[in-house]
Amino acid sequence: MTSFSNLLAQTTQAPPTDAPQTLADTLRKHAKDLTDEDLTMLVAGLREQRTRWNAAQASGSRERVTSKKIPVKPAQVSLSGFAIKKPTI
Amino acid sequence: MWFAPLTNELLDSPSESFCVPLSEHRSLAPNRSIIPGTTLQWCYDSTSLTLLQGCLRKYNFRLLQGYQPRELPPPLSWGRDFHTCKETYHKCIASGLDHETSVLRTAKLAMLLGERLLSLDTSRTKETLVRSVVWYLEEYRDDPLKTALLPDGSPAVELSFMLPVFDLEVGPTDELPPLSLTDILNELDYSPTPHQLIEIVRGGRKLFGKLIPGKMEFHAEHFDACLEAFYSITVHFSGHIDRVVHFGDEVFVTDYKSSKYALTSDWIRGFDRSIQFMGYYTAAQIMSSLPNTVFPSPPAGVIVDGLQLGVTFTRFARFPLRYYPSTAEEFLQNFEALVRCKAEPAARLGLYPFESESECNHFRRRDGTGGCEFRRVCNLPAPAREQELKKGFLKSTWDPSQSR
Repeated sequence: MTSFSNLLAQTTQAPPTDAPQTLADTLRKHAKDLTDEDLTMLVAGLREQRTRWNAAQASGSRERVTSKKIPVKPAQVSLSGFAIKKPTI
Repeated sequence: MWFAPLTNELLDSPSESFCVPLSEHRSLAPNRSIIPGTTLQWCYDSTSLTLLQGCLRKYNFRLLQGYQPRELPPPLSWGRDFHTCKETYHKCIASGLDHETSVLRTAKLAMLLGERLLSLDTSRTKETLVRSVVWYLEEYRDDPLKTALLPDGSPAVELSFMLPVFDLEVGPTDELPPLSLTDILNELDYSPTPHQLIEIVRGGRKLFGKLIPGKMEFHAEHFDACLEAFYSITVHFSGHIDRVVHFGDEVFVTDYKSSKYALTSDWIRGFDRSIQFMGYYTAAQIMSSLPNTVFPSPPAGVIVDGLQLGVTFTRFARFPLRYYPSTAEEFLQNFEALVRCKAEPAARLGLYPFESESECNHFRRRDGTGGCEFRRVCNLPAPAREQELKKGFLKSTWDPSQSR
């Protein structure tokens, strides 16, 4: 049987630190604190939300595509094509 | 605080380049659209005309006395911020920023503006603002509506206009006291030439009035004609057009409208007799006949850029409303009739009665919210109204004679 203290412990438990960030988290940030990376993630997340909502509409689903369901991740910086220039002697 | 989208900076004071104020601005400046010493406007926009047409008492409270609710209704504040974001995007593009950078700067502005929105309405929040801006720019990335360009190359967005419409003869006012030829001659310690006399009469009209033809020969019997001109005001129509677009080979004026409800034909029928849209069309008709205009041909109508705001989605639909030259003619006739039959007698007699009950309940919802914001004041006995206005409202000047 779950005791009240167990329930309380569960509800007050801090989220795991490696929990993926969602669009809702980014939207909650103060605009003044937004970095360029945050903004890029925000716009990418909103585009993803729109794509999913359009797909849900097209399939006749009534699914609610909330911002909490949209994970956002830092933009991947591709290093391909970069190389250390060989010093010329 | 100000945001400069072109440089991506937050500033304490506005810079010379384009920047957007982030704090609420309430103007307490005198309303220059009202003729000094009277309660009669010489310049009207669609807001003042709608108030005037709807209810004289509301017109008096809101426009003449300048009272507005302490908190702007969410649809108004949200709509204003969405307009600002769209204007910013167009200005970023016109300044040479690429689409992606312009979207990022506009999204940042939407986040900044969204933070001042009050969460009284779940569909008009910071999240719905940012989402609607980004989704809109995605939806219309390859927009078939092409923004027109002004003669200087800047985009035709957020255009302010002020057009003379008709002359109205008004009696002497505090600013323009009764004037007779004897008064003028007594005031002067010299004998003026006829030309000087005309200049003296004309010089009194610092604010308004049609010019007396310069070649007019002055004779004592012409003095009445001079006075008639002296006491005439030219009534103007002013406004603010969101965007002028080319669609195929036609030109339209566009306006954004947000709604919590589905964007159906019933919804758009609600704008059938919209003073705002008919006014924009009329102004565009007049401007298309002027030199150096943004309109290469008379406009075909107004395109309503509709946004349906859900808590988790924004849906878009566009509705072209076609108007005809007869629409403009009728609008101008109604405008003149409203001023001559309502505004001028009300100002002359100082009477601002409440009008139809349907005005009080306009936009009133089943839960009792909405409707005229002054209902509570109106329900009080006349002596208690002023105190209630001071307690429950803020002063903020709505001045149609000032471009935004």
